[in-house]
Amino acid sequence: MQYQDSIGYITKSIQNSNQKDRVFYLAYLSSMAIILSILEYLIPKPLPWMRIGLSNAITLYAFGVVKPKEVFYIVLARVLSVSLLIGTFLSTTFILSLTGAIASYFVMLLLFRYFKKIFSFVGISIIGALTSSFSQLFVVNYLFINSQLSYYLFPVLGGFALVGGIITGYFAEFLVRNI
Amino acid sequence: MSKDRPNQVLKLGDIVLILMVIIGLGFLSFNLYGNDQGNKEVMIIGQNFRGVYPIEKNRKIEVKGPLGDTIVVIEDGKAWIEYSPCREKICMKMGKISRVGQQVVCVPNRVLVEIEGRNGDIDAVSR
Repeated sequence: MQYQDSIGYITKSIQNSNQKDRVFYLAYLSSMAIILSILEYLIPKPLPWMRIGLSNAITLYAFGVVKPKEVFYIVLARVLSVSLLIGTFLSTTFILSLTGAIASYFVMLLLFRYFKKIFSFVGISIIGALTSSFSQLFVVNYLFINSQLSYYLFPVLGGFALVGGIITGYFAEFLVRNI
Repeated sequence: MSKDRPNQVLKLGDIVLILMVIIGLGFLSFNLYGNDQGNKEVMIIGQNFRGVYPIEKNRKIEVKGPLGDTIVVIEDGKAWIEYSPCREKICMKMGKISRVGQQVVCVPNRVLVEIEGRNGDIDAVSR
């Protein structure tokens, strides 16, 4: 796994682990993401779109530890479990969070592959957050309300994504240094 | 474990990215919210009358209704009913309107005054 080595913080134990240990490790990462996501739902917010995206820090962390395919499993497990726990499974909220999660996953995957020299966790996190927000706006615009409302929300959501992305990026860096 | 990671978290690309996002968002919001003033017009509907006026120009419009003339005033980006021949004068008490979607209505004299967005504005917001 030369891709993992290039990140620079992988432990030997995970790299050379067997299938069973890997599954346990993925479940461990997923549960951390779920807990962070739910904790974030508990924070009172003036606007429903104001999300920090702390669970994205786990995704960022996972990109360096496990295979990209397995990161995708973590993302999917997180979105599904959180929607079941919060009670939004198959609702609009669920579709939006799935959209944002998948879109930001693919963008962050590209960034980790090709732009790792340029960006740190913070940069990748910001771009991921922006992708998440704007893909959700796109879906809202074309699936649900079909109006130009989204143009007016662009700067607002972009600002939240920037701040949340910076926080999440630093949090991911903190995780990498301390776990 | 990660002793080999550099002390400084941010790389050059991050700082450039953050600045670019801030500038881009600022530019975008300036474009979206900046020229909001010139994007509205006043629509007046009477019994046999329909007119659309730009909100920037001050003017007085008399609208004929079944009870008499209702006087609508547009001034300083606001519109209101100055005088109405109806009994309750509710429309005169409804005050001045300036935002897209706001209305002043006089039911007895069949007059509706509404602020409309010119183009690309929001039709409605559900609350």
